[in-house]
Amino acid sequence: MKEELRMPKLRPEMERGSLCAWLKEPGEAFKKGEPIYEIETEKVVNQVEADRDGVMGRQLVEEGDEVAVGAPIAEVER
Amino acid sequence: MLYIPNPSHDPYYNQAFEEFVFNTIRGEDVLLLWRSAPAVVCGCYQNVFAEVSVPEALARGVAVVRRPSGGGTVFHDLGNLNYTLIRSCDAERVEYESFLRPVVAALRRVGVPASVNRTSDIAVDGLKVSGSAQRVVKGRVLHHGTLLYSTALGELTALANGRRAFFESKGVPSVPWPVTNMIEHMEDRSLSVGQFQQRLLEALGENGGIETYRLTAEEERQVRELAESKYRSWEWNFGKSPAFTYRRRFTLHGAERQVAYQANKGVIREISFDPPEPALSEALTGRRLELTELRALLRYLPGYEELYLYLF
Repeated sequence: MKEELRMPKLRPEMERGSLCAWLKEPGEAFKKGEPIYEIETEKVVNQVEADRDGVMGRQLVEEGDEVAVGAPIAEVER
Repeated sequence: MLYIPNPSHDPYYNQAFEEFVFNTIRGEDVLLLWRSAPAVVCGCYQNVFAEVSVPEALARGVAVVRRPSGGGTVFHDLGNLNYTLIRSCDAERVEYESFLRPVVAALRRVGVPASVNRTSDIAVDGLKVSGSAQRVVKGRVLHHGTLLYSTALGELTALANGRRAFFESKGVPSVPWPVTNMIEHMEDRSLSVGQFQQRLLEALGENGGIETYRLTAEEERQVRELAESKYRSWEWNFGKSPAFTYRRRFTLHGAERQVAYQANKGVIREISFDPPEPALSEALTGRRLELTELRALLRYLPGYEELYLYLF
């Protein structure tokens, strides 16, 4: 089943974050707890780990893009 | 809280030391206080080439190091004391206040009239004396910051000035803010930075106590290994920069010229000169932006020995 990953909100004031790096390529499988991407907001680099197993699908934003909180950033297959 | 002494002043080793502690010590709060010989330290996702003049840094003997936390470029020297606080956290609640408050309180006890300024700074009289940044991995947060005690404040400006105009890239730009040294605002100005470090350590330990832990010889060996494989590497410090476009006018042997190139992972992809220089463009395409390599390459092209200066 296809699902969307969305830009997380890390602080109450956070409106946007930078998608710094994809740590999984499209087509690459990942397990729960594995790092899948990194974001930066307010000088915090946050490594985001998978909350469930999945396969990385289409990536909707490029590394370095500023993205609004809640906006879709990638598709994953569960 | 565990205090882990690190008497090294090697900027690469010190970044590795911090990362090693962050990755291996779980479940306990950790404090580090450390100083580095002159170094420009860039944020994790910055374009290092746009932040600092690499030829100028090399000429002045200043190291260029990328750190794994966010934010902008800072300057370290032995007049700057770095502190690192590591603890467990809720990844969905990023905040600075609980880290800055005890540091401000300790600074006051030592005689610095400091207060929290903006989100992640500490200031005296509205002038910044400390900037901080964080990295969050698997439920642990590393918070670190500079403490400008008696730093050469002009160095960063001298190394960074006027470069942005040459570059177009994504990535995180630095935001300069007026700074001051803490020693200027203390009643007792006879305190050396080493004494300041000792007093600050005592002040930080006043609530709750501090237990000292020293890395074992084996752990230190692993830190050195990490320093070699990562923090001394061109790939981490320079190659991790986001893709960018560079364009610059310059004068070589009295003639005005322009160079334009694209770089991806720090490697020159497409380069052109005006007036055109096909042989030179061919020689430089696919080369990585590593100063000593480019200088060596251009040494064999008569008339272009100095050109490397205009590629950074």
